[in-house]
Amino acid sequence: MNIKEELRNRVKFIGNCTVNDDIFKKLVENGFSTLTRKPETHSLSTLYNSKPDLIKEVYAIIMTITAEFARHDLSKEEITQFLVDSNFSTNRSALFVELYEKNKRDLQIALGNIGSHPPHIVDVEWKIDYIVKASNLDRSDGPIFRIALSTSKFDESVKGKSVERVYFTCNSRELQDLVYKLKDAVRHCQRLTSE
Amino acid sequence: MLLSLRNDHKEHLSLLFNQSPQVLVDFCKLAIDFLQNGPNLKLYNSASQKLQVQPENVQNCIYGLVNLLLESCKHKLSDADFRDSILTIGFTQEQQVILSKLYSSKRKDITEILSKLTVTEPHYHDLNWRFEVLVASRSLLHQVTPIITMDLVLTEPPNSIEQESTQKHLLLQTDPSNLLHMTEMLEKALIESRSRHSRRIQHAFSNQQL
Repeated sequence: MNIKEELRNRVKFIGNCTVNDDIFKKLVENGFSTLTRKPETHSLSTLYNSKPDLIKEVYAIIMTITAEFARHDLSKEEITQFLVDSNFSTNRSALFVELYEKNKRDLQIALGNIGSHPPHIVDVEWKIDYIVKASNLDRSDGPIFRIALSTSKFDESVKGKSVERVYFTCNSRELQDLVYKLKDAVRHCQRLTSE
Repeated sequence: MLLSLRNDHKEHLSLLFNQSPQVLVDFCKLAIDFLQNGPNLKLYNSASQKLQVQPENVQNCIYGLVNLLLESCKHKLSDADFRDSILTIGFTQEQQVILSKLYSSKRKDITEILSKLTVTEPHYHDLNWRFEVLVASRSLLHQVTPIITMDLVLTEPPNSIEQESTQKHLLLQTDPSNLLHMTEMLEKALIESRSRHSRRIQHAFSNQQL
């Protein structure tokens, strides 16, 4: 694993710092909650008492290494090894690893969602219309399919995902074509998974 | 069905009632020219001199002819209906033959243009897809995430009549389970459109037209 010397030294620093085990545990739990985008389990104000600067540093390092571990997809053993090398007590490293195992999946999902990608289709809605009459032409037409694709995309203004709809229409023949192409893609996916 | 024209429309056309077939043929040509190239006042002026009427009358008459064609196409008049309508307006039998010819030759083009003028929304044109596997990203180094990236091509309605409609490419992606869901939903729509209920409605509407 490629962890910078500077971070390694900072981890060593918290390995033998004077924060007591209870506060350390709360900090680790909070770190995992924040990284997996859940509300913090413990109110931060109860954690700051005598040494706010130290608490802040410990908290920052815990968050950094947690993200780093998940990013590199490290195993339990590798992490234990790393923490023990960084002067963590068996107690603290066991606590960390236990929480890591519990949250690893959520953590990696959160990490996987970071980044840029085209709008992601999450749902589709349809309705079938028949045109009875139009202002310019007496014609009955139909069926016309009005389709809305719900896509989720990172929105800069709300700093999170937002759902945007893509609307379009098609006639029977075109919908048949679309369904045929999508089925082709589905078949391809299924063939890959069965192999 | 018989076409009923407004009185001023009839008045504009009345200039032609007493003209020879040759004059009517020329007017038909002018109307066709109008449909293809828009109004040509110079031609109308020379026609008015020949007939010794006001240029305005000729112009109104051409507009009236074109409007007659548009209205007939709009209501999808059959050849028989068109013939009856023309005779009711006051044209002679001989003139009706010429006008019917004009109608049947231009009918398809005009209907096509009229159908383009209706309310249009982005329309499906094509879809291309590719299957990808995301193996790493900056925030997650080791991963295997299957992704289906799609290029949805939509035909967008033009902003004005002169403009051609444009094609818009939308780059979208989805995961296999959403792809399956999406495919099933759309197939359901397709099946629904062939259901008895839908077919009955379609049938009722097309009967109403007759």
